[in-house]
Formats: sequence, structure tokens, C-alpha cells
Amino acid sequence: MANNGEMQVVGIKELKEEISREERIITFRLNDELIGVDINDVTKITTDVEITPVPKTKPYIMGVMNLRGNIIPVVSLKKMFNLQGQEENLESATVIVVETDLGNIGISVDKIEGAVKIFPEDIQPPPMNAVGIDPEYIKGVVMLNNDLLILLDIKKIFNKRG
Amino acid sequence: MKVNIPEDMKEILDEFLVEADEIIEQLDNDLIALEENPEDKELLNKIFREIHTLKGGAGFLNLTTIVEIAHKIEDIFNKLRNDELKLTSDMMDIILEGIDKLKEGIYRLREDMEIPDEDEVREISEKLQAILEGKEIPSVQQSGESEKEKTTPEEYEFVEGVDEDIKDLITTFGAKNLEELLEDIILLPPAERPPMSVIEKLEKLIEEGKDIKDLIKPKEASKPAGEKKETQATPEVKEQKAPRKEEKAKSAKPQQKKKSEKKEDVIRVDVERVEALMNLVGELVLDRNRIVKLASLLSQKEDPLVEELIESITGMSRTVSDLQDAVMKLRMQPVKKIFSKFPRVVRDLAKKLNKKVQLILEGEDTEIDRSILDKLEDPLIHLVRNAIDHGIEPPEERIKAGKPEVGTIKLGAYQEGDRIIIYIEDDGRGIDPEKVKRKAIEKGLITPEQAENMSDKEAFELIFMPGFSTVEQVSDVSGRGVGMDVVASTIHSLRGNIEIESHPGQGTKIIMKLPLTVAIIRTLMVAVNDRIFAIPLFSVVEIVKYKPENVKRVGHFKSLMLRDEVFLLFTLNELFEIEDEKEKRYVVIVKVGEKNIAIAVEEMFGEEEIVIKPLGELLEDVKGIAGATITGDGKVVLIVDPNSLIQDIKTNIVGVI
Repeated sequence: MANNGEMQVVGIKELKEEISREERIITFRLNDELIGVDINDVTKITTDVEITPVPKTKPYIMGVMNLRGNIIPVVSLKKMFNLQGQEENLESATVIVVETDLGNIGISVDKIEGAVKIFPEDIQPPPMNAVGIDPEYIKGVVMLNNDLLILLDIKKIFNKRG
Repeated sequence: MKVNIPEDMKEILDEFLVEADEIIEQLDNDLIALEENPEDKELLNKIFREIHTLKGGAGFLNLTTIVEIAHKIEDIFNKLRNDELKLTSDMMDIILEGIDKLKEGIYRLREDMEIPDEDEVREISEKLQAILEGKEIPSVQQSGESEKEKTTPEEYEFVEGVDEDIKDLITTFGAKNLEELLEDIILLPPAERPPMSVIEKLEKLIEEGKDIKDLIKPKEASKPAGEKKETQATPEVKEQKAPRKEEKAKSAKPQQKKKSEKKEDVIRVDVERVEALMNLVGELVLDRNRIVKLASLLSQKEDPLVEELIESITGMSRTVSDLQDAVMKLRMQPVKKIFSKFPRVVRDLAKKLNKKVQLILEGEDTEIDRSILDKLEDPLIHLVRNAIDHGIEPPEERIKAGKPEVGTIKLGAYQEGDRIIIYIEDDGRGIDPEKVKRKAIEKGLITPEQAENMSDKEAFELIFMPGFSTVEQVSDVSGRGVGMDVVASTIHSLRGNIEIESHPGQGTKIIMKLPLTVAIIRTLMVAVNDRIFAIPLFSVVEIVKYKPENVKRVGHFKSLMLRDEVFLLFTLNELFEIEDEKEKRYVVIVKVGEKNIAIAVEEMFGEEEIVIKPLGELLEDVKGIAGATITGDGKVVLIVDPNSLIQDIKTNIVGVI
């Protein structure tokens, strides 16, 4: 297992003001888009992961990986959302493991950008078709230093309906 | 209605649920046994005690409707064991219906924290009441009055200082355990319930730890000391509906004590803990295998230290194996656990279909991994239903055919090496292979030409194909949306196999071979296109070198000649839709159902013991993959499931193989 490149979701500064309703978001790049998932949905962030492809599955399933001795599926968000761009590298992928109704699932991303804090009132409804991702899977967008942060709804993407 | 169990009672609730399941299962069986021997006093007493224990637990948790039904059934059995009633088959139906209601109640309690409403139990409650009152046919609406009139208050001699109200209470309701008395009173309709003040007095007595024995003077030979606890669990005198013949009730008690003593050397352990232990042992076994491998490399060196190391590794290795066995045994459970449900299933079905069937259970103590056992229940029920519905003929037909009027179904299990064999055998009409073939042709599953060349055994295999059993064949009994294909795929998912033996006119035998355990398996590591796969060793028949001169193309397929046999040959690449360019070096012959199939691979790494892990819910129905394992260097290796892999392409190759 690729222990070397592991980056735990810690070290994000804990603010004392717990009263604040701000949400913490793990952000990453998919092609050029800045995308974020709620930190509460994230189990682990790992880099340099080796993915074992599984034959006879849907195209967006990249394969399976070893998460602390358990086997979990890894999906390609790019393929899932029909985005163009570079093919993922199965030998050394960057994977965010998220907790879903279907158990832990790895999502492969291009680059981790880090954690940011946002306020719920700053969240805007998703622009129609602006990014090529089905708006159904988007919680909303936030302007962040001239960049548009797209907030994914992990629970909606992976649910029992498949 | 919802039930509210306070936090501190949760543990008691959990215990009750486990116990209730056990009791109800036991009851089902005892009731069936009773039907054969309605006069068996010992059995009657046993059933009485079981239902009583259930009622007690439910009463403690204030599960009113469950108590109500249990109470009525208990009363019936009290009458039965006291010869006040005679058991008839119709009565048994109603009692079983009552037990089913209890089952439902317990189920809903576990799942949704609710129990049936009064309305939902009224019908069964009235039917049970009708039995109690000796009415032949269960009638509607039983007035509470008539029941009361029948009560003949008993005279009791009270000790001094007992409150008058309490005396009245005991006189009216009989001398029983005070807690039960309270429970009975609370269950009464408000109009018949004694005033609150009396209830409070009773509660106070209970709080003080008083028992009925402290209030009345014993009438007859007093009970042996030390039996107080037992008394609490058994009402020594019947409730208001049957206050006579209490002597007999007493004589039944000592047996119960024996039983509860025996139970004590068992502890209940959460399955999850055993699973966790099993996982750890699995990892340990893998580490052990790695260390042993390394040690064998070291053993060439002549160094006393190395020798010592190897010696201690050998010792550890043995201990780990023993540990593995021991933990494995923790997960083993006798097949009795599910077999015991079948007498009831068979009885109900036979009755419904007007057939006469006796069920013989064999090898009930055979043990199998719990996780396998749990998944076997539905397939077995389906197969037994099939046997009764399609297999066993109606009595007239059987007599005409010169068979005994009563059909026999055998359900059995035994161990054979590291496999468990489970079989269901009936002496019914059997399956006609020609009929099966005709049907398969009709359904478009095979062509008439394919049917020509099919052996009987292959024809029977068609039954397991998806799309074979269809709606027209589905009767109220066999059809629950589960076809034989589902049965087969369940067995295959457990890494087992299933086959049919049948002789028209003589009967059918369905044999399932299952692994003893699911967690650890021996596999053969192979690779194609630099991707490693593990093939379970139990399905590997033979491994040979790939020789192009032995491979022939036959139509769309390749075949391999080996000695004087011909096998259908695939490359693992084509089966898994993986790029297929490299030279094949080995051929693995695997057993799929009745047939052996040759699979060509590029690399071979030898045998390895692995811990099988699931791929996660998202990938649970991937064809051809049974799971995955993690190797020593952290890599994930997929485990091939030859059955589902071939099944996936079977529609194309049926008749060819």
C-alpha cells in the first residue's frame, strides 16, 4: 500500500469560534475546474495510489484500491461527468476517499488544492450547464479569489440507485 | 403501535429479542412434533414453558399485544397438558397462526420498535379465545362476560396482615406470581380493572420483593427450597380462565430447572467481534505465509542462528494454524439452525397443496460457516417448496403409481473433506429431461440441435439458467420471485456448486457443495497482460503447458485437445475483455458446473492462501469476480469466480460445452 504519499485530513487550522456556521471544504482540480466536497464526507486523501482495474465494469469505474486493508472502488469523476481531459494514471493516482451510502468510494482527481472555509450564505445556485457537470450533483458554487468553486453533492452522486 | 423502551432497558430488550427468536423457532418445531404426538405430555409441558417464558419477557417490557397472544396460547397449552382440551389439526393451524403473529411482532419490534396494534391482533386473539372456550370453529366477537362467569374463584388461605384488596385480587385472579398478576390486571379493559389504589398496593408489594408465597399458605406439599426463581418464571396456577387442576401444572416444573442450568455455559458474542477476530487471524495467516516463504530462502545458509529462527517460525506457524482453526470454529454453526425451520415449512405447504409429505432431516449437527449458513436459508426454502409443489405427487397419484401415499423429502448435510454437502431429495415424480429441453427450446435458450446432443445432466443444468423458470410455472407456493437461477447464483456466490440428479417417476435429488468457510481460500495466482488474478484452487482441475498444436478452432470457439479429451478453450483476456496480444504459456482447466473448461493465461505464480474481501457495494454485481485480496506488498489482486465468469457467456456456448 502506498503509505508514502498519504496526506491526512488534519493540520487544517481549527478555529476556536465554534459558533461560526462556516463550512470546511476540501478542494481539488478536475482539469481546470476548482471543485470541492464537504470535509465531513471525506474519509481520507491519498496520493500516489495504485489502482487495480476491474474488468467488465462501467467505464467510469477505474478499479479498486487498498484503503487500510479494505478494498474500495475508485471512480473517475471525469468519465462519470463526461468531461474531457487527460486520462487518469492507474499506477499513481490522487484519490479522495469519500463516505457514501454505498460505503467508502475513492474519487480520482487531478490535483489537491487544500481546505477552504466558506459561509453557507455565499453559496450560489449552480449556473446552468456552465461547467458540464449535471446540476443535479452540484450543491452550489462559491466565488473564491476570482475562481469559481463548484461544490459537489457526494451523497447524491453515490446513492443506492447506483 | 410504537413502543417506548427506556435507555436502561435497551439491554434487556436486546436479550429478549435474541431469546424470543430462539423460543419461537423452537416452538415451531415442537408444535410440529406435537402434531404427530398430540398426547406427549412432556412436549406439552415444554411448549407451555417456552411460551410462558416468552410471555414473561414481553410482559416485562410491556409489549401488550405480544403478551396478549402469548398469554392465550399459554392458556391453551395449560388446558392441553391438563387434558381439558384435545388438540386437533384445525386448532394447530390457529396456534401456528398465533405463533406467526408473535413472530411478526418480534420482527417489527426489532426493525421498527413497534408491535402490532390491538386491532391487528384482535382476530387471532378471538380465534385463540374460541379454542380456549372449547368451541370447535373459531367464531367472532367473544364477550368478556362469559369468560368471567366461567371463573371459579379458588379459596386461598392467606398469611396474616395481607391487605383485603390484595386478597380479593388473588382470589379472583388466582395465586400466581405477583408481577404476572399485575401484568394481567393492567391488560384488562379499564372497566374490569381494579381501582388504581389496588394496583398501587400490588406494585408496592412487588417493590418490597414479596412473592405470592409470602402471602398465602401453601395448600399442598410445599415446593422444594431454592426453586423460587423457577416459580417466578412459571405461573404455578392458571390464570382466570382455567383455575382448575393446578396440581398437574406443578408436577411439570422440575424439568424446566434442568434446562435452564444447562444453558449457562454459553456466552453470546456479537458477530461483529468474531468477524473482527477472523479478519485479524486472516492477516496473521498471510504474514505467516510470507515469513515461512522468507525462512525457506534463508534455510540454505548454514548458521545455527538461522536454524533456531526456522525452528521458532515452524512453531509459530503451527500455532497460527491452530488459531485459525479455533477462530474458524467460532464461526461455525450447525445446519440445525436453518434445518429446524423446515418441519413447519413442509407441514404448511403440504397441507395447503393437499399433499402428504414427511420430512426427514439428516446430519443436522454438521457445522458450516455462519455467513454461508445465513445465505442458504432462502435457496433451501425454495428448493423444498419446489420439491413439494412440483416433485411430490398428490396422494391418489402416488397410490396409483404404487408408491407409499405419504411422500418423503430428505433434507440433509454432511462434510466431505473441506466441503459441506447439503442435499434435498424427494421421492416424487422426478424431472423429465426431454420436457426440460423442450421448454428451453421454447424459451429460446437453446436450439433444437443443441438439445439433440445434450446429456440428461446437461439438460437438468438448463433449469438453473436465467429465464428458464417463468411466471406460468410460478404457483402461489413455489413462486416468490425467486427462480432456480437465483438459487444457483446464490450457491455460486458462496463459491459452491449445485447439481441435479433425477429419475422420472422415482424422484429428484439436488446436491449443493459448499466451502466450509468463506474467509480464507487457497488460490492459484495467474496473470494476463501484467494483471494478476487469483483463481480459487477448488475449481482448478488441472494445469498444463499451452501448446499451440493442441488448439483447434471449431466454429466461433477454440478447443483444446488434452490426451483424448476435448475442452472448450478461452483466454482469460477474452473472458475479461482485456487486451489479448501476448503469448499464452499455461492452460488452467477449471470445473464449471458439470463441465471442465480450459482457460489460457500468460503467467503463473503458483499457489497462495488468501483472505477474500468484498469489492464494495458499488461493484457487488461484477460478473466473474468473487472479490479481491491484498497481497504482502499492499497490492490488490482480484479473485476470479469461474462460475459467474462462464455463466456470463453461457447463453452463447450452451450446447457447445
